[in-house]
Amino acid sequence: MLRYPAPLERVIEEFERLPGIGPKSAQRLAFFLLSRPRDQAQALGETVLLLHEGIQPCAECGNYAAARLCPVCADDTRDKLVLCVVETATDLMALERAGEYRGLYHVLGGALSPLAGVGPAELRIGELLERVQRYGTEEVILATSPTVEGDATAEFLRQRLSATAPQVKISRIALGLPVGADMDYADQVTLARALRGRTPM
Amino acid sequence: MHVTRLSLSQFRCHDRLELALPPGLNVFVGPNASGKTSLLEAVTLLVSGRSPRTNWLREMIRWGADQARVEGVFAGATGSPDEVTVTLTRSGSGEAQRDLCLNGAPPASVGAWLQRLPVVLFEPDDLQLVKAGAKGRRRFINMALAGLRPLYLDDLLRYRRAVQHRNELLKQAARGRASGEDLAPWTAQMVRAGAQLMADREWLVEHLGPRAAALYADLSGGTEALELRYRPNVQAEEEGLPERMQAFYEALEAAATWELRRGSTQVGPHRDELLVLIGGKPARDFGSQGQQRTAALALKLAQAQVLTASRGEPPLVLLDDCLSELDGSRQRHVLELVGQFDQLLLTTAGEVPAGVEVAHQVVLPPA
Repeated sequence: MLRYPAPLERVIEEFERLPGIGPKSAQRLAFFLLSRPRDQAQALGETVLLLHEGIQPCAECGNYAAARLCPVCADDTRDKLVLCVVETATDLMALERAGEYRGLYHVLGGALSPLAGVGPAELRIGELLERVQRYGTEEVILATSPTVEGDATAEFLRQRLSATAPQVKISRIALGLPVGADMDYADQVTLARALRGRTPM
Repeated sequence: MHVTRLSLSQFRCHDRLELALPPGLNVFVGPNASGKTSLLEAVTLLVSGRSPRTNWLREMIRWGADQARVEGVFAGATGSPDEVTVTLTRSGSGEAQRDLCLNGAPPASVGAWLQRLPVVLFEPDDLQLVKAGAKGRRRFINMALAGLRPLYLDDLLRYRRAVQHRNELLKQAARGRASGEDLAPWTAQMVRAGAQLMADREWLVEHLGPRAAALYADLSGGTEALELRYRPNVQAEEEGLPERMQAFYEALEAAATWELRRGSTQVGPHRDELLVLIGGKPARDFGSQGQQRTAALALKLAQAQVLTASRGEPPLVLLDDCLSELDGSRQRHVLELVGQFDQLLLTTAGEVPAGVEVAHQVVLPPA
């Protein structure tokens, strides 16, 4: 079988290892870079090289940070008495884009999953309990995803928190309807879940 | 609901096939291996993404072809028709890739998919519903509820997932590598989803039971009555969700030592039973073959009736060669009963009983 020259093959292989990229996309990306001026490939390469150099986990919340603290933890206008627990830094960014929340975050680094070998020791749970003590946190919002794993993680944290910091108010993020979407068009599972999780008025 | 157009390409033994199907009774006639059942399989694939015959999607792709494609147009009582396409693409030596498309876009979820196009399939294997173990009857209940309640499938998958995680922890706990504290959140997830499953199953059997009994009486003409009884593995004194959860927790408590020894979850709705009784005795052990067959038919017909009642429109009914065991008058009677529904697709190697009105007949040549 005819193969591409080795440097091209290697780039295709590297792209293929990225999530969501199949053989065809990898090939398209590699050819695209080859067709562009040399500078562009150079710039891409250099940015990728610097990725790990410039990024570290925030010393407080575990979010990605360019300094010791991430922008959220460094922001002194934030309410330091409320802590929102998320699975990943991308979840944190999603909540930040919503613009509603003015408290601090805590990134767990995933959700509990015995089948995948993720236990409490693999998540940043000790750090969470320590922060709650140190800050004198008043409310912890559990915003793990609404999967079985996310729900079990929230349940586990609730138990731990009520044992170590009984004065803290604990809440779970609500499941609801997409705003702006007509009830008519909401997918049935979402609608049924919203109905089941109804709150008293 | 009925299917107005069905088109197959490189599916099973069919190279290319285009069918326009009217409401009413459609009969697919042909010798063995002419691909009659494949037509019903194609319809099932369109409405559920799965085959009733095999767990391997790749088996449905025609020998030597790389891709099978099935398209169908489904018309309901209201709204515009739904166009559904399923493409199966061979991928290496592994399982084929499945692409679902509903009116030009992938469906939001498989749950939403199962909800949309209600179908009831009758097949010769239905006899096993009554004759074989509880697993088949749980599967029947699961399929019936998945078509009725949007959250049922979601709850079922959550339940199974929680049980798997929990079993893993029970195995670790037996070796001293997990504690009760690790187990508790998974137990909570399992109990919550499980209690919901039990409540839904109770509801279903409540509505299925009287219908199945009436149908059985009608079909058998006999004196012995059919009775369905839901026998949850975890019995609660009362039917509310909190009571069921409480009972589930207590049953787990009682089974704790045993669970640790076995390294798996020993109580819960994954061990539920649906008792089918004829004349007060389990049909599985005491029924004759004829009684069992009639009971299975009554169960399926009752499922179709409950679907009709709760959705306000009848499901599409598929009958795969399941009348051949019945005598002529019984066959006619079954066809009269299912004639209440919108459309029937029937496969047969023989004749349709005299006096039954056929809307459309498709004759398949020998393979």
